[in-house]
Amino acid sequence: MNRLPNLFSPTRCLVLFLGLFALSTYESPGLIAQTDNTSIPANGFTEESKALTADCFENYATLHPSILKIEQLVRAGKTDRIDMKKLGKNAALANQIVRYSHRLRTLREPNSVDYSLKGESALQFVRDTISSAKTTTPGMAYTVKAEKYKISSSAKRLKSIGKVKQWIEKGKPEIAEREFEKVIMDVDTFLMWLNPNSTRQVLDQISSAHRQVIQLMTEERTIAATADLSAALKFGNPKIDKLLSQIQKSTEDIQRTGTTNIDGTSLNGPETMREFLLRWQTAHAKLIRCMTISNLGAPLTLKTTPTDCIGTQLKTDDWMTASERLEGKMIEMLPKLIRLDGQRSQNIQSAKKIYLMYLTTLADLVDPTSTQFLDACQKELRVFEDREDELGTSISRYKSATADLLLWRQRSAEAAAKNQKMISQARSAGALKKITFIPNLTERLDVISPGLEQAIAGREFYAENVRTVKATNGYSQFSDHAWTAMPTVFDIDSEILSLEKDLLVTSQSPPLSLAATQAIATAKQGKYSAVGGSASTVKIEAFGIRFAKLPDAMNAIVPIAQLPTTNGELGNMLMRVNLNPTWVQHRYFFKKF
Amino acid sequence: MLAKRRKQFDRQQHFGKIRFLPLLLTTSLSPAIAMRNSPPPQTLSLFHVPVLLVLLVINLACCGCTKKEMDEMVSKAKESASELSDKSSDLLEKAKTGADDAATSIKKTTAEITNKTSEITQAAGNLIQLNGSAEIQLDKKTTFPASYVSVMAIDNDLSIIQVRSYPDAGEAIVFPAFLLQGTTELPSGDLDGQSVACRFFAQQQPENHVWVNHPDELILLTFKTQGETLMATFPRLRLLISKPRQPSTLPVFLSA
Repeated sequence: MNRLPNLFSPTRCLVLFLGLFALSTYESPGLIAQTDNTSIPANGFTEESKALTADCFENYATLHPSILKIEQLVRAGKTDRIDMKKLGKNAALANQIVRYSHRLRTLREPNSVDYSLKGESALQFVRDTISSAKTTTPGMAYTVKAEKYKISSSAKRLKSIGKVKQWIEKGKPEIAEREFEKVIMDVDTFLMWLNPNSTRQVLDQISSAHRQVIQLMTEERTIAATADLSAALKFGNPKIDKLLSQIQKSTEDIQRTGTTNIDGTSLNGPETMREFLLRWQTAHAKLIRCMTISNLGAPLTLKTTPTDCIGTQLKTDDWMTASERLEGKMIEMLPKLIRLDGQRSQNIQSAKKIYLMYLTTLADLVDPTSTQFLDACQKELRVFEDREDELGTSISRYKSATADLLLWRQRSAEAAAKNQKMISQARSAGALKKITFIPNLTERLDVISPGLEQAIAGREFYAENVRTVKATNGYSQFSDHAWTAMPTVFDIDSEILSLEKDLLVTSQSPPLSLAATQAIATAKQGKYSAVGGSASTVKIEAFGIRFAKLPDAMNAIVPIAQLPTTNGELGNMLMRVNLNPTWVQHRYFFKKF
Repeated sequence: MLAKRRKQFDRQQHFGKIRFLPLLLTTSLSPAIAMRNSPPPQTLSLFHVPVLLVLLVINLACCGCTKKEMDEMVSKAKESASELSDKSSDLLEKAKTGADDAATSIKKTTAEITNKTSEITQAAGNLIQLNGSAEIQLDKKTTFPASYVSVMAIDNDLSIIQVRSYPDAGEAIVFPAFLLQGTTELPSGDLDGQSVACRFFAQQQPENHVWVNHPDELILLTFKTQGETLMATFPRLRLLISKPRQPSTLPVFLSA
């Protein structure tokens, strides 16, 4: 069992900083439905993993309160008052969680780590409690009962094991496993009460069948996991080769005729740009998912390999390189479209229309953190600014009329946000050096989560590069094993109005520079440099689930040239902090609520 | 290429009409401006600092400008030359005419300097480099080492007036720094007597907070010629800044 390496070093975890004001509580936003804070769902690439997870969840829901009750009695020195039969049942439930967690691990499910810990720790508790209960009067009586039951049930057990072996011989290990499950659930209810001799006798009856079942079913599950993960990879293939050749073709079309045909629709230059920017974002989300699935699958040999996903042109099986190469290709190919298209427009009216369309397309769809790509576009947009007509003049006049204001607005927003951030740093300085912010998940989620939540809830944090989905929910960039979710219905109308006024924008006069267009677009879309506030709840998530199932709409959770980093080990955990925002920093304004 | 040359030529023709005289800025500074209220302590939100009076004084005397300085100005102006426009150059011309009337000494400028200045005009267009300084009372009296005025036409009706402490937005800003920017119709083209509603930003050091006017309360910057000096003043106003709260004594998060 992989005991998660130390991922959550405190300094790295805090992209979010601590601060000051506890505010009204807020329930986590609905980006992902949150049912239970102390368990991790299944990825569910294999059907079985969902069923196993549901069983583990149910078992633990029964087991955990029962164990807590028993623990109270033990602490109160009332071991003799424990329901001895219940202890045996708990042993069976705990051991089943352990067995199922092993199956989940074989199926490459990240939640296997937590259920394994839960099962093992419950089993150890029951084992310790039984050994001390054996010395009590009711315990001694129950020991006798157990020994008797061992003898009385022996014939039935042998018969069942015989059936298990028959199913194995018939090549039906799944049925054999189901039959064996009945046997082991019964055995576990009394096994721990037996003396060592009797224990050995029972184990002798069942062990060889158990070993065979495990071996055969592990093989089956490995095959199933390989097939299902391979299928998921194939389905999620970003098909980068195809995308690049489409861009190539469309660019040539636009240069020649001003339009191109994509999937049966005729598009002009800016529309083509829009289409490819969207496809790039989707490809990025797909790359993230494929990388994660591929890492989950390791060391299985998946049928769909990274090379298939990335495309032969790139000749690499390194996901990170693939993402960088994709960005490189995009920077090389897409901005060129602007120039080729711009050179075609002789007429000032049509040139202006095309120019404005490029501005809004780029401002709407290119993330403000994609500076390399934006710079490349900016360079190509000069084809309009350099025109020796009124359009060229008005663009350059507009730029000089707005550049200073944007600069000062940015400066002002940064200074104001810095003050807010400093508050937090003042409180956290030095305090985080020695502590373990999140344990390495050597403890169960139900143990870690409440303490973690207690430590974080109500504290002041800020998150960087927040993006908004459907105008109401925001997510921050994922960094150092943490990301932040928050509601983003902010009262910033007057900030947007003032920004528009400064940038001389009216319904008749749109902004004439990329910087100004993007300033307004990002404000309206809710793309913020930082959002701060107090944490309401914290949830530990599995890296392998967050990113294997990342929604397209959350592709900006890492910059488009990047992939979320992982050391590739199954079961990596990350932290999601739900935030009640109290201030926002847009690139060009700051507002405290 | 040909078209570009023609365009340049047209511009030169145009600027040939302009009598542009060298400007040298010295400062004469107003008395300190008092804060009406001291900021409420321990307040995290933006608070208002009234500034009673700020003035920028732009002295238009041309004396003392050596050829070397002139050359430096020319090259600097060339670097920061912005797009020229007929409108803005008209404005400039008119603005300059007003200044000429006020500053008789300017008329005694040597031919050489006039010639050089004409080059600046052609190179820099509407950028007037004022070799002076400005003083603004923020939380303390702050002297800005230089000030520059530019008038940019953005369309047929409107012009942008900028007064700032640095020559070009693209260059590294020297602190303290400020920007006053307003949009105006500037009907006469003469800055004297004009009032322009402006946004105001100032920062004493790059790490400091930024002083900024409330977006709904623009600063009325009034240009007035007094003798040889073109003064730009603005009345009391509220400035917004955000101040860090005092370091908290609350317990630290997650102790070791």
